Amino acid sequence: MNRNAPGPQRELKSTVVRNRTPRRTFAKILLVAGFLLGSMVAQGPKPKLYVYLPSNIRPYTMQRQLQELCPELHITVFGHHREFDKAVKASPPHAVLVPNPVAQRPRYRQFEKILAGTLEGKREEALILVSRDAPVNPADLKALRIGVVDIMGWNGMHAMVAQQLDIEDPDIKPVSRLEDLLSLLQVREADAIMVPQGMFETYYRRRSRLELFKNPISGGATMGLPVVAVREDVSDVAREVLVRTIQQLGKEQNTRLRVDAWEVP
Amino acid sequence: MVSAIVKSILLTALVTVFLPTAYTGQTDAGKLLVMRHASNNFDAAFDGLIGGLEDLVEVYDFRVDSGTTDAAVANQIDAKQPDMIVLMENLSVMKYIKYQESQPEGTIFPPAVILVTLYVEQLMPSMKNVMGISYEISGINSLGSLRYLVTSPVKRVGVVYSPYLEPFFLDQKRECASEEFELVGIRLERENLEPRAIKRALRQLLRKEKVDALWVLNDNKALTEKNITRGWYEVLRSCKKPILVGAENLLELGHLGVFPNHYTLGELAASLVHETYKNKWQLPEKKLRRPITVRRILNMKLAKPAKLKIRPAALLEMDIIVE
Repeated sequence: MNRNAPGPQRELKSTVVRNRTPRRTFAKILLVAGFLLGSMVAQGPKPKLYVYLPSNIRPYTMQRQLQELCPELHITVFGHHREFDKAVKASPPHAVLVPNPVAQRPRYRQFEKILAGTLEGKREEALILVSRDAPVNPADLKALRIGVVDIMGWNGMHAMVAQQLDIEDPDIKPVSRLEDLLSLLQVREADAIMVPQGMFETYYRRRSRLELFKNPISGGATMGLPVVAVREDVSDVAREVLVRTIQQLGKEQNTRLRVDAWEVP
Repeated sequence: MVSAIVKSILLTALVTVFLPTAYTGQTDAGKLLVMRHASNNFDAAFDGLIGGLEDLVEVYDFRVDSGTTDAAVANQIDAKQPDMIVLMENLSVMKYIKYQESQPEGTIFPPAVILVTLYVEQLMPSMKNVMGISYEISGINSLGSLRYLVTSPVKRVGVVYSPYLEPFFLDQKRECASEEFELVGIRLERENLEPRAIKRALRQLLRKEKVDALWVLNDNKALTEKNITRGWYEVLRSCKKPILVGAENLLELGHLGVFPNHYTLGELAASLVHETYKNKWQLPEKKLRRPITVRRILNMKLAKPAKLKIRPAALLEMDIIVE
């Protein structure tokens, strides 16, 4: 191209020169994008983990805490089992962190356990009934209104409590959060609440001035601790990231998840 | 043009009133008619109800508004022959009361449950075969949240209330005693529902009664706009004691707001449908239920200037923190 050409050519040349810088920038962006894309393909996207655990900590707070501690994962925390069920169906995650009874539901059969939470070396914790003003008479169990945290819906919880207490057709009062169980006793909407034994002193006694009674359940009812389960088609790389990240959670965060360690089942 | 608009409005009204939406369910189990306001104010409660029912019954969503006639309500109930009715919000309850009153003596009404309606216990005596879920959160529940939130002692709690809330206040006083809360109430005289009386009552509680905290009830009569700005606000803005409020629009007056969670109110109604179904469509013995799950909002904009000492762990349990 002749630089000294008159009129329109100069005009044309001038246009080309003006556009040279953006083209170079575009080329650089393409190069960087290509590099990043290549790197993403090599490493895969962050594994998506859905968490549903009944807790007093609000879901967005737990999500923020977990996400800060697990930057290699993409974490979403749900505060209600129905929201969780819906989200798993609509946009299946790579993995879920849920109480063991939830992971065992038929609808989650495509998830395979890769980590089990433990507390003092056990994968389950004892359940007790807590009553106010007087201990529970075991002979009256069938007549009692039993408060439980609803992790599986009315039908699921009805069946679970029937099995745990070994009675037919229990009168259950399902609630969404652990703190709600105490409210049930306070306003006398339940005669007894079913809670993990470890929470009696650490939570219920501390929060309430009611005269509370601890009633063991005959036959030793227990509840499975949280587990991490992955979708069967998830890659080994993603599984490794999930196991490593969850196992490195510190004491404080594990306590909030009601475990003290994570082991490979 | 006008006639087209009128036709369109009529058609919409017909669709709204006479053709309720049916939700899937086991038709052999039963039919549930949900009467609720045509506005979408309480959709979360409706969603909680549908979710909690787990397809137990076939649900008909019957939207009403101020224009819904008594005949339309009667037609709907006659046509659907529901096994149970859920009434959401005051308007639906008022329409249903009129429906019951219009029926001949000895009519057997299907069991009904009322929710998201203020002071439902005051409406229930005039109705037949109903039970209700209170919209007001129990003091024992709300004050428990306040006691855990602040490090200062919360034992004596001051309450200013209108005469119509006296039965509610006395119930709360009795119930709260079991958690060692002592409610100290000042009842406003009917003729004194004005800012000056409210200010005097609040100052008496803070200075003479030396309460540890104040609880502002969801009291329509004492909480008119004039009373809020010239009465409540004038005393509470400089109050250094923790203030609990029972309605979302009162959050500017208090440090902690504890309100019903609408989704779980719907779920609670669903569990009452389960219970009633199990009991061959007979309502359970206990006719008034309390909301259990709450939403907590901490107003740090007021808590900070009041120099309230907040427990860090309690912050994790707040649904919203207003900074």
